[in-house]
Order: sequence, then C-alpha cells, then structure tokens
Amino acid sequence: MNSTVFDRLHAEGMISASSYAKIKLKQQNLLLSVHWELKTLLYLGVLMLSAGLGILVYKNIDSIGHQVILLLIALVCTGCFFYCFKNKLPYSTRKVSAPSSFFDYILLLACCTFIIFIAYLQYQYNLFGNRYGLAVFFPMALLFFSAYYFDHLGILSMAIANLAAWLGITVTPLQILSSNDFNNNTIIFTGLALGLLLMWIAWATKKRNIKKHFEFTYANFGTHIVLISCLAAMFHFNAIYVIWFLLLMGMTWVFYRKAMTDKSFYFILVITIYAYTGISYVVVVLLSYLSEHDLAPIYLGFLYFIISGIALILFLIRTNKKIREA
Amino acid sequence: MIAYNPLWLNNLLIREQAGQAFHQGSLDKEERDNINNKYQTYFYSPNFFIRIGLFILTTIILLFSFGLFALLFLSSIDKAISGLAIFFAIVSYAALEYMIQSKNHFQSGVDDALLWISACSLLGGISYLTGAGGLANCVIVFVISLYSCLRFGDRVMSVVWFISLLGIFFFACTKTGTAAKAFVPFVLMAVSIAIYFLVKIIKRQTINQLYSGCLQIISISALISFYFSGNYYIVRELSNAMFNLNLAENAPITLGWFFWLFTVVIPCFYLTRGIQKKDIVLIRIGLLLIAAIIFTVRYYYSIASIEVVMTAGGITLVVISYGLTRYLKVPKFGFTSVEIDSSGAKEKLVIESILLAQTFTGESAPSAANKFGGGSFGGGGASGDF
Repeated sequence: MNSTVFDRLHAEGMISASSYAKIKLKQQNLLLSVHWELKTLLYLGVLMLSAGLGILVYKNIDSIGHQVILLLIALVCTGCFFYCFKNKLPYSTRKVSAPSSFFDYILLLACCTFIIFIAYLQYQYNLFGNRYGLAVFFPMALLFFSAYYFDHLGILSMAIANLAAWLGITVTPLQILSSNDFNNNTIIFTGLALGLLLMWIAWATKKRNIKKHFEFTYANFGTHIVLISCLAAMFHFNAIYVIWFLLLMGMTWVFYRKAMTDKSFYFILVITIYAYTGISYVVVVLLSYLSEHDLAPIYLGFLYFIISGIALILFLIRTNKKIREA
Repeated sequence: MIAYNPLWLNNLLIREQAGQAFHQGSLDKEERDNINNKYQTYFYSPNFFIRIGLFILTTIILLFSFGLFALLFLSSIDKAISGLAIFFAIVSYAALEYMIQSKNHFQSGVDDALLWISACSLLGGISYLTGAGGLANCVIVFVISLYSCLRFGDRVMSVVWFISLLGIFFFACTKTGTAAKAFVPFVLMAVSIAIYFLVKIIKRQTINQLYSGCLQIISISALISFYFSGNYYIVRELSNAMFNLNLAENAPITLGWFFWLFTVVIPCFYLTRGIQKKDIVLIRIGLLLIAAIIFTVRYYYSIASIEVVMTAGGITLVVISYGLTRYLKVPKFGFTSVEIDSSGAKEKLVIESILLAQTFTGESAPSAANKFGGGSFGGGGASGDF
C-alpha cells in the first residue's frame, strides 16, 4: 500500500484519526497472507501424487501383484474419506465452508483414488463386463454425492464432466471443441439434451435453494454445451440450418434474459460470441449464393463484419451500462 | 506525456488504495464513499468480460478494414502491402487517440485493441519495407514499445520493451565476434540487474506512480530474465543451437560449474530474500524458479524415474503445505495462512473448480473405459494459478 496516499487523505480530513492509526499500524506490522500460495502448492502436490501413483501402478502391474496394488489404492482412498467424514462440518442445503483448505484437497485425493480403483477393477477383473457405462457411472455417482455432501465446487465440476463422459461427450474446457466429433448426429442431440438438463438443474438449484452457489457451475457448463450443440447442428444439417439458427437465436434470447436478471457480464460475453458466430455463418452462406464470379460478395462480406462489429460494440456498451445501473 | 487524463488516473489510484483499505477493515464504508465522491474519475472502463468482448470485436473490425484496403490494391499487393500497413497503423493510432481524448476510454478493450493492432502493423510495415534482420527488428520493437509504454502505460507493452532490450544486446554481442559470444549470458545478466535497480530508483519518485504497474512488471521480468540468462539448460542448449557448437550429449560447457551453481542458488536466494523482506512477488518468483531447478537437473541427470520423482515430490509438497498451513494458522513472523482480503474469493473458487475439472478429469468416453488410465491424468505441469 502507498502510505503517501493515506497521509494526504488524513491531512485533508477525509479519514478519521482512528482509521489512519489502523492503516499505519497495518503498514508497520505488515501481515502477509500466503493462503493462495500454499493452496497452489497443495494443488500441485495432489496433482503430482495422483499422476505419479497412477503411472507407478501402471508400470509395476506385473511385479507387485494386483491384490497388493488394489489394497494400497483402497487404503489411501478409505483413509482420505475417513479424514473427510471425521473433520467435515454438518451438512446443510446452504453453503458450508470447508474446515480447512487441506480438507478440500484430501477430498479430491479420495475421489481420484476411487476413480483409479474402479478403473483398475474394470481393467483387471472386468468387473462390469461389457457394460462400460457402469464403470463410469459409479465414480460419477460418488463425485456428485461428495460434491453435495462435503460442499466442493471443484468436485462438482468433475462430476458434471463425468456425467458428460458417461453420455459420450467430453466437456473439459480445453477439449470441448477438439475431442468431440460434432459431425455426428448422436453427439449433437445428446449435447443439446445434456445442456438443457444442466440448465434445468441450475434453475431448480436456485428455485429450491439447494446449494444455491452451485448454480453458476451448472449454468456455465449448460450454456456452453447448448450453444455449441446448436452451432454444430447448424453446420452439420446444412440443408435445414435455418431451423437450427432459429433455435440458436431462441436459446440466446432465453439466456440473455437470464444473464440480465443475474447481472452476469460473463454470460453476456459468452452468448454474444456464440450468437455472432451463428449470425455471421448465415450471412456468409447467403452472400455465397449471390454471385460466384466477381468480387462483390467479398466486399459485402468485409463490410458486413465491419458494420456488425460496430453494432455489437454499441450493444455491449449499452448492456454494460444497463447492468451497472440496474 | 501520458495520453489518459493524469488527474483521473491519480484519483483512480487513490480510490483503489481506499478500496483495499476498506476490504482489510481499516476504513469504514462512509469514509470510503466520501473518498470515492471526492476523487471522481470519468473514464469509460467497462466490466472485465465486456472488455474482452470489446477487444475481440475491435480486432475483428480492424482486421476486416485492413482486408478491405488490401482488396482495393489487390493487383499490386506485394509492393503496396508495407505502405498499406504503415498507413493503417497511422489511422488506428489516430482512432486510438480520438477514443482516449474525446470518448474517455481507459482499459476498455477498444483502446487495448487499437494500440496493439496499430503497433503490430507499424512494426510489420517498417520491417517488411526495410527487410530488417534480428537486430534491426529488435530496435524497431524497442522504439515502438517504449513509446507505447510512456504514452499509454500498457503493462504488456513494458514486457515487450524489456524483451526487445535484451534482444538488442543479444544480437549486438553475437555480431561482434566469437569472443563476445562467450560473454552473452553475463551481458544479459548485467542488463537485467541494471534494469532491476534502475526501476527500483525510478519507483521512488512519486511522479512515476502512474507507471507503477509497468515498473512492477518490468522488475519481475528482470528478475526472471536474470535467472534464465544463467540457467544451465538455457545457456547450454541456446548456445549450442545459436552458435553451432555441436556439443555431444551430456558434454560439459565452459564454466559449467558456475552455471550449475547459478541455476541452483538464485531461486533459493530469491525465496529467502522474499521471506526476509516480506515481498510476495519475490516469494512467488522463487517458488516458480524452484520448479525450474528441478526440470533443469532432471534433464541432465535422471536420478530417479519420472513417476518416482512425481510421487515423492507430490508427497513432499502436500506435507510441506500441510505443515505450513497448520503452523501459520496463528500469524507468525508476519505471515499467515489465513486469507486476509476476501474480496473476489467467490471468483477464485470458480476458477479453481474449472482448473480442477480440466486437470483431474479424463476424456474417457464409455467405449474407452476399459483402457486403464487412458490419459486420465492431466499432465503435471506448472499450471498453478500464480
């Protein structure tokens, strides 16, 4: 903190003597919080530990023996869960803060080892036979349970990603576009259904007031999945793209209303980008019908992007003002 | 010198300080509101996400405008392109000044995009026109980014400026002859140190507080570049590649012992100084560079296999952070593991949850569930939220 600023404010009489004394005291006995640094170390530690153990087991599978490995994983898992059950605060439908940041990561380790355990059983003993869905279902159920029971946003996100994986799509942020084959009808329809389901859960979460702070996570996954599915459908079913375009616009309108009531700048940005992509696609398709030989459609296309860009800037500036004033 | 209204910038600084003090419980609400009322700013600075949107849209508009210009000169594009780029840079610059002077834009996304597009197209135009090499390009970047820093106080520009400065010294040394090549690491170290202490002196002058963000970023870059100009891996591999030394695998380099010592000692030194001086930035850099030590050592000496290192390192990190968290629950020596400033805690939790979903979740679709551990472990890396 800049002490000259407060000297000046004090001299001008803007802050009382007691506040000034408090600030001075804080500056002399500077207390530094290393909360997030320690949390980052913990995060890296758990990440390395679970990855390292995973590889270790994978490489030594022949030499240690399966029962020993399974026992070891089970021990770590139950140990971590035991710690969590012992130290947790009582359950409530409201937000329950974790007893310590260490708790959060022990829970994470517990869930990770459980996933490894199930995967190992399936791999080695073919526990679920050919019903692979079950092998994903159990970890997912456990993740959802842990997320609600111990109140953990990160585990909830993992649970949603697992739910999507159970249905056959990847929704982790960096792979959502690259890992999914959006030229596949099933994926598009599943995505749309999953996204709508998540939006409905988000709505119910808020309405019923059950872990209200989970709403954002559901809505975040839901919005992206629904809008990406609509766009993918537009590109894929290009004979009837108009229908999907209308659906995209309809969804955008619904999400826009929701973002305005929630005063969420983030969702405004997200839906603007998706809607703009959709509209631009339609414009480019229409322009390509115009003429194939001269440059006129290209000029018109460039002009479209310039003018629509300016229009959207004005829209964003106006929306920003609206949300701030509301 | 600075394009934005300096009075408002100062007021903004005061408001930020007051807000911080308010969040830490030193000021009451009435005092903060009084301060905010007295020190008004009339900048147009929208919400962060709107800023991103405005940045993207302004970039789209500018790129298509440039495309439109280029279409007009399509027949002679090779000759016209550099002139076109310079002309375009001037037009965007004029637009930038206009947005700042009469529309009061400040970190709105529009001014960021205009500044960057203008700077990049000016660089591209001049560089293409003159056919500039490494050194000349660095000089062009140096001039453009220095001007952008001074005029607009852009922090990323200050990093670019610092890198271009290092680039100038690097290329100047490599051009002077073989003897100078051996001194490149030492020259870069000296430049970094000189800049670091220069920034320290400049920071003390109150007139420079409008640039405090830039200065902070430059001193961080200087600390990091000081380390990497002496890091064994960087020195060995870079000189091998740049000067065609054709070193055999694991063959030592001249003064190897010095660079090894440097690689190991400097991060520890940063960390200790950071703890002594209670400088959170130094502590973070120290922690980050300790990871660099591990990567460097492991690259040349595989003491243990990667999974053993990861497991052992993971356990060590968990134990250390657990111990410190417990130990510092009650503040000791001015450090605490409890969060003091809880503003933005909700956003941090959301970011953390997205990070966890990204790194701990696999891509396992049902059909792939029979493959054990099919890529379900995110690559262990320095993806921490420093």
